[in-house]
Amino acid sequence: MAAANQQTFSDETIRRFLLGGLNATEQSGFEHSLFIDEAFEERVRLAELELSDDYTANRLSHAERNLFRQRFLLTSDRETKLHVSKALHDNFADRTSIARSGSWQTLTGLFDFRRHAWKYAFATLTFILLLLATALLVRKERAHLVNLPPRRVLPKPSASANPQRANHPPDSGAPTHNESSPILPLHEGLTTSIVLDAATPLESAPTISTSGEVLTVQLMLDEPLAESYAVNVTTAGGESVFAADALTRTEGTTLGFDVPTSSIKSGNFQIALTGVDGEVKRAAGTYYLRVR
Amino acid sequence: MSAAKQLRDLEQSDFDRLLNWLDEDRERAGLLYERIRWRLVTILASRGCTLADELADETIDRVARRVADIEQIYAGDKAIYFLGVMNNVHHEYLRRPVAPRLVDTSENVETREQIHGCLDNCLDRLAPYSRQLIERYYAADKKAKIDLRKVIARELGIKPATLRLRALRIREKLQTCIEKCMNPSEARPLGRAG
Repeated sequence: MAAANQQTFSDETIRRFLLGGLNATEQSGFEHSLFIDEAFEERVRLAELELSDDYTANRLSHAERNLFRQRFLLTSDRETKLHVSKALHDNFADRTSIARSGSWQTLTGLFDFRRHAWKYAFATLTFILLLLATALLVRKERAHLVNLPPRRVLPKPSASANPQRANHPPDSGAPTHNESSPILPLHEGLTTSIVLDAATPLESAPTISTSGEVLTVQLMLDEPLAESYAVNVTTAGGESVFAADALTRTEGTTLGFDVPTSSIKSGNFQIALTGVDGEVKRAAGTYYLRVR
Repeated sequence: MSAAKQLRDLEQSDFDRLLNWLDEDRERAGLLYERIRWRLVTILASRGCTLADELADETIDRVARRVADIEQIYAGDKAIYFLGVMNNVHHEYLRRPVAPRLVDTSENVETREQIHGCLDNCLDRLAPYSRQLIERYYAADKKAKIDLRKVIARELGIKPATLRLRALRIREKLQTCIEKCMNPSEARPLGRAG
């Protein structure tokens, strides 16, 4: 019976019932079915909502719209349904023109920024970006400060009309240069070789700091040159600390030899050079050296 | 005491007896009560009755008063009993002059905002699939509606009629949710007695 009734009444008949358009016979059968057939009852209930939606979306004919107002909107419940239909229409209907394609609509549905989830996500993202930007800025500023060269105060590029007046005010008098000259540093360095001239006295002799195992000494030779030479390195006290003979010139007028640094710790040293021509020996010069 | 006075003074005990007669389970009795009332209102409205809500309530009140007398002897569909009483109530209504009911379909700004707020809340409560379906189903203007719904049905691998049914069921859930949202204190059917 119920199944038969459900088949009897079409969707169109249900709509006519809702708009009060059934004749007496149809109305009686319809009402009875509505009370005994739950599935049919659901169809009518849903059709009631759909009719309200269609009215809101302007999908009813002029006659149907009139019937809707006169014969349908007779209960407070249906008025509420109509309000909800309007809200749904306002909310969703304007999206149609943008997205008709199914897949596109799926995407827009997914990325609908009117959703609360998206609102919260966007707010969180903005906050995170702000934090990151701030952190980046602070870090960059610190790096900038670390790498910043010391600030130099440059002189003003504009020349004054009277430089002397500008730099030396007339009421202060001429400044006295009280600062004493600094003691000139000794000729020091990691000298591993040294060139000596016989004309240099002890007072002007170079001072070296010994490093390494040997000190290479280059002596500037005076004329007349000899076939070979012998050297004797002595302390200021005359103590011989190193001696070598049969030395030949390395290039032109220079004689080179190595002295073990262990032999010349510190103090003033004298190098006595002897020229040897066969059996003949002669003094070829005296050189001085200071070791610190 | 007039009949009208008697009808207004339906006692809580009568209403409780009515619910108990409909179903011993209070929850199911409440749901059945709501469905019967909706049927009465729908039929009365279809008959052109401008006081459908009032006549439906009057029908229920009369049944409630008679439950004590009939509950032991009545056999058959209880809902049908309401239909018979409603016919009597409606006949009485037709005999008395009734002023035409003025329908105001406009809504004030406050109500409109309230409904939109409730709609947002209720949409958020829907399952993602249901929400997506209802959004797509209603995202259609007059001309594009039919084609778009065919596309949706094809994508889901269902018939357009099935799609319509699914969408309207979700729509019905939304309706119920919004009505509760707008009237959170309303607790039918217990609230209507008295």
